[in-house]
Amino acid sequence: MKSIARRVRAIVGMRPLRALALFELAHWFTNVTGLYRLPGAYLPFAVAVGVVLAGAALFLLVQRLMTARPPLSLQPVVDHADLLILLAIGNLMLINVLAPVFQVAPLFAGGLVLRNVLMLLGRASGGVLLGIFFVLIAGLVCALLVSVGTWLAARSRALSLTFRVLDRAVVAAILLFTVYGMALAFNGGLDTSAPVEHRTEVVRIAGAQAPWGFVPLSWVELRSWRTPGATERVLLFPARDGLAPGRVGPGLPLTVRVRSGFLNVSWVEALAVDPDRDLEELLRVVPTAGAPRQQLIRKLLAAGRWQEAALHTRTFLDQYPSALPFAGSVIGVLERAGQKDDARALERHARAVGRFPDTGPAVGGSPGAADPDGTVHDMMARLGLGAHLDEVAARIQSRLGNASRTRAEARAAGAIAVVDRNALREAASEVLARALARGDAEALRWLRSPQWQRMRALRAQAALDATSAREEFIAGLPDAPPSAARIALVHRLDRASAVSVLHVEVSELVERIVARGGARARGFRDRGQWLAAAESMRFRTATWTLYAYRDVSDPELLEYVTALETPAGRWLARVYRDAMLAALESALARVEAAALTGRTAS
Amino acid sequence: MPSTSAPASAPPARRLALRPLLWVSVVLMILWGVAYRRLGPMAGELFPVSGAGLRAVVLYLSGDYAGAARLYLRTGGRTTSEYSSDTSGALALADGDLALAERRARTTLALVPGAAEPMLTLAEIALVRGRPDEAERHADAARARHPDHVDALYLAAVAHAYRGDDGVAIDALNRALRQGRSSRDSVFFHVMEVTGHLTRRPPAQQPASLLAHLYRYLRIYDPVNGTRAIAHARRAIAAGDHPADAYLTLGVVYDKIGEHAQSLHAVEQAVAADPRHAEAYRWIAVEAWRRADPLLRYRMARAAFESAPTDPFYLHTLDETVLRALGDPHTMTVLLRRAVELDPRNAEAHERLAAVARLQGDAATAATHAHAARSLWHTFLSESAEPSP
Repeated sequence: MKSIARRVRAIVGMRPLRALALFELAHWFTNVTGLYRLPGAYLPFAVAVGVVLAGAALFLLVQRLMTARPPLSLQPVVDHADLLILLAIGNLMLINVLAPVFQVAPLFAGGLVLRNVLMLLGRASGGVLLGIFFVLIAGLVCALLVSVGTWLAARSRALSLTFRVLDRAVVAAILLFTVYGMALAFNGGLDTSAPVEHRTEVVRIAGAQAPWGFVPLSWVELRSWRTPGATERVLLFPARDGLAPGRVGPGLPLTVRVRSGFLNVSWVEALAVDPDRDLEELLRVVPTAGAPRQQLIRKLLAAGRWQEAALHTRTFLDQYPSALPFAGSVIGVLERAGQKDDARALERHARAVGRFPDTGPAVGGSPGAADPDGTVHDMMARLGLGAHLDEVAARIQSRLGNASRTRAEARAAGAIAVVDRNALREAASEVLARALARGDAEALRWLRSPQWQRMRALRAQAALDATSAREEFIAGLPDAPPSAARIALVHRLDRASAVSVLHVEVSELVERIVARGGARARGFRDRGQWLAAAESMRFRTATWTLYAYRDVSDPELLEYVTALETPAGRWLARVYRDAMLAALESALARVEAAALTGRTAS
Repeated sequence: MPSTSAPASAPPARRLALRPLLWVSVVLMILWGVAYRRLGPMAGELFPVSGAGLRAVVLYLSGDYAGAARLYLRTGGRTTSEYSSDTSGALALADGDLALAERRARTTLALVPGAAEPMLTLAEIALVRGRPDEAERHADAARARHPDHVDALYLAAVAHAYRGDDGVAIDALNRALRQGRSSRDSVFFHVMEVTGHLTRRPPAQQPASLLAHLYRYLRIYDPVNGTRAIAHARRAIAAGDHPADAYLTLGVVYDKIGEHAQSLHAVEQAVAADPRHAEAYRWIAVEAWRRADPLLRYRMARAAFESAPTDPFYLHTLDETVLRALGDPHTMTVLLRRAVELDPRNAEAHERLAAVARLQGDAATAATHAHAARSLWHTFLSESAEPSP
C-alpha cells in the first residue's frame, strides 16, 4: 500500500502532468462556457478567455516538459528528438500522399487488424495532417519561446521574477476560470426551468479566428429582450444554431430561446431565424400561400388569439377544401382551450366546404376487346406490335421488381400486378379494333404483301443475331461509311415510320410507370434531355436499319420506303404508335389509381 | 524515475528548440501547410497523372493558363474505345487522335444530322487546330438546336471570346453557368486556354467583364480564380463593361466564398443596372433563401419568371419557391397559365400544370395538360428530325 501511495504521490507531483491537468481544465470549461452561453456585453468573451488560458496551459506544459528530467529509458529518444520529429513529419506526409491508396486497400486486405489499420491510414487526409502540423508548430514555437525565455532569465533577475509571477498568475487564472465554469455547469446542467422564446433582430455580427481558419469564433449583437434600447452579445455556434455567420446580417429577425438557470443566471439555449417573420405581409402579397397561412394559424393559436386563428382557418379551408385534417387539428385546439363557439362554427364551415380529393380518372380498358374473327390479333402480329409490347412489359416488370426489392415494396408489387403483357395487349387491341373498323384497305393489303413479310423477317432475324455481330458492323462504319444515298433512305424510313420518336416516348412513359409504381418522384425532362434522348435513339435506329437491311439493295429499300411514305404506310405507322402509347398510358393510369387506392386505404 | 523539479544542470530537452533539424521540421510543416492550402481545394481534373500533367500543373500554378491548358489537353491516355461507345468522337479526341475523332464525328453526323455531340467534337477539334471561326460555326449550330446544351454554350463562348464578340460570349457563359460544370472535361481546358490568351494582352485591352465570367467558371475548379473574377468584375463595373453581368458575377463569387451580405448587395446592383436581368433576380431569390426570407424569395423568383416568361429554366425556380416552399398551387397555376399564353408550345409548362392539377385532385385537368404536353413533345421531336435547311 505504501509503495502504491508513494507512486501516486510521485505521479501527482510530476510537473508536466499538473500542467496537462491545467490544460484539460481550461479546455473543458471553455466548452462548458460555450454550452451554457451567457448573454451580455462582455460575458460571451469568456470563451475567448478560456481559449487563451488553454493556450497558456499548453505553453506551461511545454515548459514543464522541457525542464523535466526524462526517465533513463527515454533518454536516447530525447537526445535524438529533432531527428525523430523530422522523420515522423516525413512519414506523415508520405502517408498523406498514399492515403487514396489506403482508402481502397481494405477492400483487398485480409485480416481484421490489417483492414482497420489501412482504414485508419486512409483517413489521414490533408485536413487531419494540417491539424497535427498546427499543433506541432504551436508546440515547437512554445519550445523556442521557453528556450529564449530561459536564456534571458538566466541573465536577468527581474525577468526571472517576472516569469515566475506570470507562471503563478496563469495557474491562478485557470483555477478561477474553473470555478466560473463549474458555476455555469451547475446553472445550466441542473436547470429545470421551461425555455422562453424571445423575438429579436440582429444589430451586428462579428468574429475572429486563428491563422488558417483554426478556432473560429463568431458572435451576434442582438436587440436586447431585457432592456429596451440596449443590445446583447451572444456567441454563435453555426452547427448548433443552424446559422452560418455569412448568412446572418443586420436586421435578420431571430428567436432566442432563454432559460432562467439553476442559479438564476439566465442563459441562451438556442438561436434560430424567426419562422414567423413577415407572415402577414407574405399573405398579403400571396394570399393563397398555404404553408405560411398554416404557420400563422399555429402562431395565433400559440398566442391564444383564437378568433383570428379560426378566421384564417376558414380562409384556408376555402382555398384548400381538402385540408380537413389540419382544420380538424385546429378545431381540437379550440375545443381544448374552451372556445366551443369558434370550434363549432369552424366545424360547420369545414363540413360545408370540405371534400376529399377526386380519386382520379376511371381507368383500365374494357376487359377483352372483341375480336371475333382474329383480325386484331393478326394485325398485332404482322405489325410486330405484340412482341414490342411483351418486351416493354417485361422491362417494366423487371424494373418494378428491382424497386420492390429495395423500397416501397407493397406499392411496387401492386404496380406489377396491374402492368402485365396481357393488360398492355388488351389496351392496344382496343385501338387496333377501332382502326380496323374504318380500316385502310390498301394498308391492310400491304401488311400481307411479300415485301412487308420479307422486311419483317429481316428485322426479326437481326434481332436474333448475336450482339457482337451488330457491334462489329457498327464499329466498321467510320472506316467504311455507307453511301449518301443509303443514308438518305435510312433517314426517310425513320421519318416515315417515326420510330425513333416513338421509342423516346415509350421510354419516357416506362420511366413514369416505374417511378409511380416504385413511389419515386420523377422530375420533368427538359427540352435538352428530350433532344438528347431523340438523337441517341436516332443513331440507334439508323445503325439498326443499316444492319437489319444490309443485304437489301438500294432500289429494293427505296421501294419499301416509298410504300411507307404513302398514306397507307403512314396510316400503319400512326396505328402502331397510337396502340403502343394507348397501352402504356392506360398502364400508367392503372398504376396511379392503384397508388391512390393504396394511399386512401392507408 | 522522472524528477519533479528542474535540475541544476539543464536537461537535454531544454536545448531542444535550438537544434537546426527541428527548425527544418517547422519550415517543412509550414511549407506543407501552405502547399496544402493552395492545392487542396483544386479539382482532381487539374492533377492528371502523367509527365505532361505535372508540367501542366506547374505552368498552371505559375499563371500560364494558355500553356497549361495546351498541355492538359494532351494528357489523355491511349484508350482503345470502339466507335459504338464513342459515337461523338469525344474519347478519341481526349486520346489526342484528332483524325479518328473527326472521322467518328462526321460518320455520326451523317447518320444523325444536326446531332449535338459530334458537332461539339468538331468544334473542339477546330479549337485545337487554332481555327476559332470554324469552332464558332459548329458550336453555334449545336446551340441553335440545343439552346441549353451546357458544352455547346461553353464552346460557343470560347469561340466568340477568341473572335472578340464579348457580348455573345458573356451571354453564352451566363446561360451555361446556370447549369454549372461542363460535361466534357476538355471544355474546362478550352476555357482555361482562352482565359490565358486574353490575359496576355496589355491590361487596358483586356475584356474585363468577359474575363470575370471566365474566371467565375474556372473558380469551380480552383477557388483562387474567384479572387481574380472579383478583381476583373470590379474593373468591368468601373469601366461600364456589361456592368449588370459583372455585378452578377461578383454576387455569385461572393456567395461561393460565404460572403452572403456582399453577394446580395452585388446582385441587387445587377438588377439596378438592368431591371430585366432574370438571372440576377434568381440569385437574389437564392440569397433570400439562404437568409430564410420567404417574402423576398417569392418576389424575386416571380420577377425572374416575369423577366423571362418563355424560358423554361425559371419554371423550376417558381416550382421550388411557390409550390414547394409556399405550398401555393393556385398562384403556381396562374403563373404557369401565363407561360402557356405567351408560348403555347411550352410543353414543360403543360407538364407542370398537369402535376399541379394532380396535386389538387383535379384529374380531368391533369389529364388534359398531360395530353397537351405529350402532343407538344411529339411535335417537337418530329420537327427536330427534319433535315436542316
